[in-house]
Amino acid sequence: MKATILFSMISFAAVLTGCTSVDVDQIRMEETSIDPNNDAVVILGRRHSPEYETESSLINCIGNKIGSSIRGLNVLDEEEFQDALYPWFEPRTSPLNMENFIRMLDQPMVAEQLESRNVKYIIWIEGSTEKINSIGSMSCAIVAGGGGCFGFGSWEDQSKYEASIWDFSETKEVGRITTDAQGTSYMPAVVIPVPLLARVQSNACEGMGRQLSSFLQPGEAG
Amino acid sequence: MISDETMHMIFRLCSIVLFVATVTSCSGNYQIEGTYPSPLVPALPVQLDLEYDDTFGTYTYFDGDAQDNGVSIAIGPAQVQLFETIIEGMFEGGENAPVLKMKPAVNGFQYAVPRETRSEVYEVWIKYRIDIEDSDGNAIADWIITGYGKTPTALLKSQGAAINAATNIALRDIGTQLAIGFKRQPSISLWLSNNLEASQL
Repeated sequence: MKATILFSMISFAAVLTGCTSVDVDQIRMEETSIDPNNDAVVILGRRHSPEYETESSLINCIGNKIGSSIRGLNVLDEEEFQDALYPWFEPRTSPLNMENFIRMLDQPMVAEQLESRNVKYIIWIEGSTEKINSIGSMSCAIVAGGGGCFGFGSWEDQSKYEASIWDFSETKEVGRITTDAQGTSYMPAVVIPVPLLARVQSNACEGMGRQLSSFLQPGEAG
Repeated sequence: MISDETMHMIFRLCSIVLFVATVTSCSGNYQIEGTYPSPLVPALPVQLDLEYDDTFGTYTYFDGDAQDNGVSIAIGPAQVQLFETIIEGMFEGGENAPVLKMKPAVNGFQYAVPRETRSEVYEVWIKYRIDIEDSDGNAIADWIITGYGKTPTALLKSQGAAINAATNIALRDIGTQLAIGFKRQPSISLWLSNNLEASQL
């Protein structure tokens, strides 16, 4: 009987899982081109707001997607880049707009560092993934000889990210890409909880990475 | 392949089961460790001598009864490393270079954990009082700076690792303000313009 209930709950949830929706929008302001053999890009997360923090895991994920889509392209590591240009790309000092970036380039050492790394585009990612809704309850207990959980939980995650692409040599913003992803995860539990997860952030990374690749190298990324 | 999110959920479930066994996890003794980059700023031709009081290099923040169930966060060695790295990059000294003394002291330390704030970030604030004097001991500036660092909760990140990360970000923030803000302090700016050639500023 218990096995039947468990199977039913898993089957029910399995039907519902995986329902993540992803919307990607792009605004192109300038033409772009990149030479993977000579140019480099750096992807940086915005972390100036006390409200949220763009996750390092997402930055790495997008970097990996672009690096694998545009073969040979040097995608600079965020942490190494920030250390090399410290303290100019810290949460307190990162330029929030092109005017501030141009002012920052008045520091000859900053411009030299960017040039020495062949940085063609700086891609700022702003946003985060948050749980926006949850229902249900689950209780777990540990007793002598064992333990277990019983209940059903469901929650909704939402990812909202915006990428702003800056051309370093032209000192222009060349485009913006937004990604909204939303998905519901379920977790039935009869003794053992069975998480059935919507991969919201992963899907947002996938969508953003693919769109950025085609934006940087129109018609060739794949 | 198990995704990060699946791992995250499994970790959360394990956390629930282990909760009873880990109710004392709010306590702990943390030694902050980190490395700090040299600042990318033009070095000033000034000899700057760092002077700490006896407690600076061993400074430890205590919350509650640290010997029992409280929290202790030792930032002494890390802050010494930060100040020495930043100052070494900011000043190049040289023969006949004018001399300044910098005396930093911890003026306050605060931290917040998700359990208290119901947010998903660990936060750290460190406030320093920095006295700047000339070679004769005359006060040039009395500078207060506050560094802020935060780090989100993450898969398999312990409270100790999170506090270490947030504290290091706060220390980097202090280094940022030192490296960029030093010359902008009015009294320091005045002293520099009186003691250096215009081309050296």
